[in-house]
Amino acid sequence: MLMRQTTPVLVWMVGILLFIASPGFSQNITVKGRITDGAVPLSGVNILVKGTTNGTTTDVEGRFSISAPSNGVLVVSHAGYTTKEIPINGRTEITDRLELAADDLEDVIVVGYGVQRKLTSTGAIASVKGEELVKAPVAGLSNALIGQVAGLQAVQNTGEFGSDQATIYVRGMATLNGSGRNPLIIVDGVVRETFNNIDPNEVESINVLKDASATAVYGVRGANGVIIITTRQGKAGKPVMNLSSNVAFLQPVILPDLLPAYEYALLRNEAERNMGKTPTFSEEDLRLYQTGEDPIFHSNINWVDELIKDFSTQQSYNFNVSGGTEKLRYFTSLGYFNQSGGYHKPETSLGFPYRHSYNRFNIRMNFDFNFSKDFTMSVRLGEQITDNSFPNGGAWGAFDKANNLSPISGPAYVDGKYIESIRGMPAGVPFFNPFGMAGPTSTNGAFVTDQFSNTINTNISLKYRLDRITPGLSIRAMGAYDSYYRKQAIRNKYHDAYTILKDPNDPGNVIIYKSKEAGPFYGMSNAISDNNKWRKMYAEAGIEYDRTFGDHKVTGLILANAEKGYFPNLEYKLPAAYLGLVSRVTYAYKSKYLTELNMGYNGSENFREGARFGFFPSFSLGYIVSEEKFFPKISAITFLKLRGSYGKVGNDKLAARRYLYIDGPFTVGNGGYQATVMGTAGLDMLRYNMYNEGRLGFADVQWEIAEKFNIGAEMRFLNDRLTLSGDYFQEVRNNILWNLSTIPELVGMPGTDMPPANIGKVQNRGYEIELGYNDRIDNFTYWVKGAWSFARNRINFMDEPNRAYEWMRRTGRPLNQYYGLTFEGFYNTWDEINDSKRPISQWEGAGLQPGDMKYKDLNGDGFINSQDMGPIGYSNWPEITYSASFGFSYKGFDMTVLTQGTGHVSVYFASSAAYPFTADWGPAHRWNLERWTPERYAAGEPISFPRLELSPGAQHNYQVSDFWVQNGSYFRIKNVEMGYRFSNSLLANLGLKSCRVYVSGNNLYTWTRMKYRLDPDARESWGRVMPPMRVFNAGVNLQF
Amino acid sequence: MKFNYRYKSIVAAGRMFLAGVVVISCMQFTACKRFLEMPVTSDITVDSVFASKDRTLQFLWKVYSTASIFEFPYYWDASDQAYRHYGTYCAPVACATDEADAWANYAGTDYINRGNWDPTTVHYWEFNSFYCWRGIRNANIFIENIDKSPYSDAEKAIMKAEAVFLRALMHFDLMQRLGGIPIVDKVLKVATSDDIPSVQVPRSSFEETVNFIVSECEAAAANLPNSWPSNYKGRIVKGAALALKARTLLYAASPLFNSATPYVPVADPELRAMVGYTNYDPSRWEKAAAASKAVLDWAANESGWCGLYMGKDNPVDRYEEIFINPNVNEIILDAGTMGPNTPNYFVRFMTPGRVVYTGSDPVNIGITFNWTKMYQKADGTEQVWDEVEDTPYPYTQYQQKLGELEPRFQASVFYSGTEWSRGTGTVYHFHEQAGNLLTLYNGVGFMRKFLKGVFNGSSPAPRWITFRLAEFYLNYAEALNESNGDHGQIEWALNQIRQRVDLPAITYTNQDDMREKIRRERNVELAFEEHRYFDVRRWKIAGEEGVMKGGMYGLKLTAGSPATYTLVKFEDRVWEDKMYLYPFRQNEVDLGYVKQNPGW
Repeated sequence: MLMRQTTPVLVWMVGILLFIASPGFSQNITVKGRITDGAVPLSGVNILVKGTTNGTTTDVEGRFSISAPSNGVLVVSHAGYTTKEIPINGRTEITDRLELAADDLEDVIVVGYGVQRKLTSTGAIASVKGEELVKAPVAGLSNALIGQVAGLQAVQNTGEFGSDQATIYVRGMATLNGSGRNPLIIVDGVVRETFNNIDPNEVESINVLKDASATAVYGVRGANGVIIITTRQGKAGKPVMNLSSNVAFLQPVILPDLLPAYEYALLRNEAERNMGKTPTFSEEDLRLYQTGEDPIFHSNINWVDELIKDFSTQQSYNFNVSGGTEKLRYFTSLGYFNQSGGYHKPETSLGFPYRHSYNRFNIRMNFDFNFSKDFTMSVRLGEQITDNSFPNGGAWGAFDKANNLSPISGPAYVDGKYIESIRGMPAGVPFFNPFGMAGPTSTNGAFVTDQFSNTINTNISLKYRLDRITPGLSIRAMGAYDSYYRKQAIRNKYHDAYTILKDPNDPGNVIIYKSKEAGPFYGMSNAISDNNKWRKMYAEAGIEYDRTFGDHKVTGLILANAEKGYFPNLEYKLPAAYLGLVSRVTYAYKSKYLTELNMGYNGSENFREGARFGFFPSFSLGYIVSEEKFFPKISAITFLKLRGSYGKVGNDKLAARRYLYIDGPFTVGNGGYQATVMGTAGLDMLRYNMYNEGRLGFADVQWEIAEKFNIGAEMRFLNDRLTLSGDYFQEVRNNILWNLSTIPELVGMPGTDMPPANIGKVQNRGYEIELGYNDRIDNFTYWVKGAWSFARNRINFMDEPNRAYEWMRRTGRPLNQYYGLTFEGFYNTWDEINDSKRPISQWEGAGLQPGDMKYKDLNGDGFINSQDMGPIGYSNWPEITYSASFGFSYKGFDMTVLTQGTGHVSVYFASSAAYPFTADWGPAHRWNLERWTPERYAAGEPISFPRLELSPGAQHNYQVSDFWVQNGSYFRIKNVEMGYRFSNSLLANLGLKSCRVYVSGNNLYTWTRMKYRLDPDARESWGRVMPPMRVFNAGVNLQF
Repeated sequence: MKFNYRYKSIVAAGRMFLAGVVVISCMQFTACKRFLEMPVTSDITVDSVFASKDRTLQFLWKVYSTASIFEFPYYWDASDQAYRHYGTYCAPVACATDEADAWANYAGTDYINRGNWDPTTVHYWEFNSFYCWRGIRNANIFIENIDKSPYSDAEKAIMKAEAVFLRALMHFDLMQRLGGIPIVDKVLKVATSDDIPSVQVPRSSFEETVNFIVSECEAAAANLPNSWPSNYKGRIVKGAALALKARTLLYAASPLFNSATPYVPVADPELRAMVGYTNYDPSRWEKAAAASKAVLDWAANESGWCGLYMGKDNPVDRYEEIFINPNVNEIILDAGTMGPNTPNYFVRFMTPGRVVYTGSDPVNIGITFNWTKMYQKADGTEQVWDEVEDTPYPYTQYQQKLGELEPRFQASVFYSGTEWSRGTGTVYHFHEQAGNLLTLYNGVGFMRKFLKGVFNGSSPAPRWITFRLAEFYLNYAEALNESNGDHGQIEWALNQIRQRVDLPAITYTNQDDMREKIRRERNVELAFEEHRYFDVRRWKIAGEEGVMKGGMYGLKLTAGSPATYTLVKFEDRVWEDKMYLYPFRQNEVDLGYVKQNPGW
């Protein structure tokens, strides 16, 4: 433990030493100057004296001052602008401008196993810069990606601290296998298990590879798209120190709107009358609920408010230093992130310090060495430590309780005393203390769960240029090691418990007495097991070639790699291994006609020898039409690039057991409930062990194969102010490993023991469009961006048995499509109920009543049953995701707004999330007030809920139907940031290069058509999740 | 410029490192067999099972455990339907006939009685055909591999015969509910989707199915021993194969199948041949009679041990002993498939609440008044019943009239004012005794047959008797009567059964009268043993009022002075003629390889 925690500190100290050891520079003349983009001063521009490590950056007014030899050359560079070399020629005052380079010739994007010039790349690749990701005041990188990349869909299902990472799919879903849809995650060139905990401040860029051209190099792992995270590296120059500090309030904003006691009791009486029962609550009870004068036996408690805090806090800090010399560049970063106080604490003392909090420490040390002109080395060290302390059960537990407790069930604490029982409630209202023995969501007295995790990512890569042999040739190698450790401990505490009852002799007198003495028990249980530790190793080596012959540019790459993951819970206890070969050839003529050939050849031990390796090629073409002579040289249209790709990629996440190609072993057992007992009773009768046949293997098991096709266009208009790009894609996923569902029971093996086969077929097609506009009016710079993505999949084959009716079929419909009855309004009169022509429902029970739902009898057989369940709504994953954002800057002010939304998505909430009076005494929600009653119907009031019943669940009205499966699309103001950068004169006195203060917000407002008051992304169907939080953040960023 | 020196050495080291990595990667690639590891395991394969005597025998036990009939309901789990083939959901199948009723409305028999079952739910309430096929698969694996084992040829022949018998037994279990079924006499292999057509075996005709079972029984009988050593008691003997053959032929000769007119109209001639023979042939009764006689002859002449149980002085104890003592010499085959957790479930499902089962949700099996009337008085005369509904009669009369009934009633029914077991004290079932779970039953009293030895939750469940010799006297009598055989033989067979419980003998009258007498004797002797449920089907009388259709009656006891009892109808049961045969599961029908039985 101690070692693990001190290791990062040591690494940090080594980094500081290296930083101090960086060589100094000599003094010559002082050159002052100013850099603009023609009108507006540029701040943060790198100024470097060529051939030295001597550098500086411009201030907010674009000014700089640097010592340089009078015959020297200044290298001026700035992200998004063309780098310029300015000879000093003895001048002491230099003013110059940088040209904007939206698609600079030097602009590169990270692709699999390398980088490419963005201009001439032919794959469908989307990029987002680290500075965009930092803007969102959220916990993890995955959440920062929401709305940032066209074609990447991120859905944050929960706002629970420490586990709120978004589910991310690239271009939707294309396989039947639910656990095999995740994209491949690459961090600094290595496949990593996660990326969510990396500090956004450490990230240079995230590139999303979408088409086969871009992902074929990942071969058998590339079919679901690839997300490449590249961490920052230092630039030669004086050390630049950045300190940012953020403090935020979090608000769980979309919470269930529970009815207070009086209305609850009224509705419950009504539900009982609907069921032919005597109402529980008397007029006197109702009066007491209304007045609140009897808070114990007639309580009015909102359990969501009791358990969940209105506000919690978040803070994050990052300090990073970067700089270096030509020989050594460094980027080091230290980050801290904290979220605290999501749940109310119990009122009684626990006997140990406790705070609901999630802490994350991030450490990053990146070094780049230039040992010689030809030989470079990069070192990437990253560490993420999390420390999470939360009431046992977490949000699941808290909302499970809040969604099942009525407002009238009595207080959990009276005078700070823990109540375990209240006797004498009206008509047997059950009492249940959700704080359990100690904590908000505990069971059996367990209270606090402490989780600690430590992830270490390291890699070292070497590159050696072999221009001596032939120009453009180089070799490279990399080794990487990842380690993960996780520990969980649960702490218990018991304390005194009290019972409340009315004095039998004097009902006005309330007695409270200690009914359970706390034991001295204070327990700690450590759940440390093997699956909480793993390590992974990776190595690669390859040869690269990159050379231009006149108009011809050729690049090539051949690389071999190997990976071994020691995950302890793998079947057979053998590590998971991959071996692969990667190859890429590109050819460009006059930077106008572009071709690219990508190949992956790889295999894993999970497939039979002889059929282990798969070959995945892709081919792409690009054509920059605007480079042609015939292309009009006008400002209306300045750039046009067309590109297309076709290729084959694989997916080996099969959700099958390991080594499916071998039969499972025969096992011996005693038969459990089905024993064999032989012999003479009372004499020699014995129970015998028996051998059981094992699961059957599928000898020819293979990976999934995706055939992907993509065409795209990139355009710029109006002197590059307006940009437009679009992609159309089409994918057919074949060979999906899927259970044969047409095996008859005659075979005599449970389906789970039968071999699946590579039979499933899914197609997926869609498009992405991105539009951008940026311009400047004097000092006012502004931009607008919009992105729209659409992806629709369809199951083409899944070996589905014949269904009685076409609408019951899954084939031909999207993955995760909802199926249910079609709601057609309510039965409003007894005449309608008694109509002999009305269809009979399988779930009628004692018979229908007015206020029950009408369903469409799809097959017209006069019965409503499962055969009338057809596709309703969409699937639970959005087909449409879109975002729109704009921003401006004016002098020191700047502002950005990001909005995003989804479409063509359905949500299904049931039980305690959607129904009142679940399990008899569950709470009711505000929208239940719009229930059907004869009076409300007669008065023509709006009706959005059926007649009330107790214990809803199996009854007619609660079958899956499009009444409950609702439109889950939404539009959200995701992120707003406003900042001000202080002027130079103010800062100089403080020794600062730059200072910016800002306020920002996240998840600010959501529009949705759902009737439920739940977050459309929080899809746990019983509502047992913390909704994604609304965030109000204030921060400051200092550079010195 | 010290750094440059250092860099040079680093450069040199780096180059070496780089070269090393390249070399190692290349080596790994060529040595990928080792890098991509194959699991080296000591896994047991089918070959290693049958390479060992012990394991071969242990696989045979697997065939026994999955291909035996154990019809007591004894395991229930909401999420697990794994054992549903064995008994109806939470109740014995007798509760779906006029024999009995399960008080708990969640019992599977309740769904059958309400007619609330269909191809999508049949496997849930009574019969999960999958588990027959699983037993057949295990038997086939055994049959296909036993020759590899190190046993002697003689031993192999016996063990193979055991598996052949069990495979036939499972086919019979399917046939009695479904008619003609797919015959699966080899391991069905599915390695790829291309194999599916070959494993979607279509139904055979009823006749082919019968012939298959009979010939398998004959083949097994040729190799099976007449007895096993004491420690292997419970293994298949020759008599079991003869018994299965006899029962199969009796069913095949019965009116449901042996008729020119099917139980419901069937247009498709192929399906017609699957639900029964297409004509009536009296010689089928002759074959059935001969087969039953062969069982009796085997017991008397060949077995050396098997006969009607005649121990105990008291006829009540004598009859009772058959069901609570697995060592009686009357049992040809029983199933000892009891798991360690069996008793709790068994007790909960089968015994009266408060007397044995101490939980709060007993199933409580009650014996109907309809069934009580099957029993004669101990002297062989008819009891006279007061049968005016909803009229109170003196309680003393209830005790007297039930007390007069013959020994098999006394052994089988636990009615008010009697002891559960000797010495456990008299118990009353007055319905005023609220909270006393003894009022929670329908009928005249609780079922006691099989259960007398069960005293509490830790009593082991009894063994389920698949074949006992008494059945074959009754089969013989019935088949002989239907084929107009020797009258003396009919009398002899029937009276063997009656005399064992000290009832006076019956003399032959005419075929129709004897048919009624034989059936009544069979009902009483084999009550609750899962015969009635199939007998009323094969006799085609299930649809008659009071059998599986219409009113079911009980006697309700009212305390007071004087205490009274009242005849009450507790249920009207639903029957449709299509139910003479079960439906195939919808899942299977959806696959298109199996023709659904008519009406479903």
